[in-house]
Amino acid sequence: MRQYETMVIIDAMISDDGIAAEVQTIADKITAGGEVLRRDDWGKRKLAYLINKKTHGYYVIFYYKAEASVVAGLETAFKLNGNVLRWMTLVDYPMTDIIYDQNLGQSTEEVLSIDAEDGEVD
Amino acid sequence: MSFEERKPSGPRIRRKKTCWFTENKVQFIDYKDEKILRRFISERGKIIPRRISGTNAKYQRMLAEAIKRSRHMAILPFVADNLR
Repeated sequence: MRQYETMVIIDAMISDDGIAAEVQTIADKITAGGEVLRRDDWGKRKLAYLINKKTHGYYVIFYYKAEASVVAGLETAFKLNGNVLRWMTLVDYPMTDIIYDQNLGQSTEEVLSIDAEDGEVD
Repeated sequence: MSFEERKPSGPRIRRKKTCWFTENKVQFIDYKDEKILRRFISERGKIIPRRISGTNAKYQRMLAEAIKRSRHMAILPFVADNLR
């Protein structure tokens, strides 16, 4: 068993119940062959660019230990699921060990203003 | 020529650039950390070269990877064309 972290973007235009259901099915798939160590819900965020003509997405990040077959199963499910806009799975990612105290997605409000921190560079 | 027109103020003194990551003793650059990554991309969304930002080679490699990952996840833009 190895540690994985999977970030999933679900279409935010579907109903809240729909989103919750999608997240739940992902969680169930993981727990079937492993255990979820931590789950971060970033919630609805504006996408930096359009994906499938969608402007907003619902971000969830799972940190989990599971067999490789679980990951393969998840990825095929993502491919077939039209509500999943994008996903990324990382194996033994250093940040999975150093589990964050702060939920990075929390600062959504501030982050949305794109040009906020320009001019700080140099 | 332009050579003589230069002000006789001697050699240009540049402030030494420092690596932000080294100073803050960062262990790893996470693709989810948008706030930090935003500081190292231009208005256009390009990765700022290390010649300008002063980032150490090791961190620049890590940074580039992190930025590319967060671009994939639509956290950062590939091109920011909403300038005007």
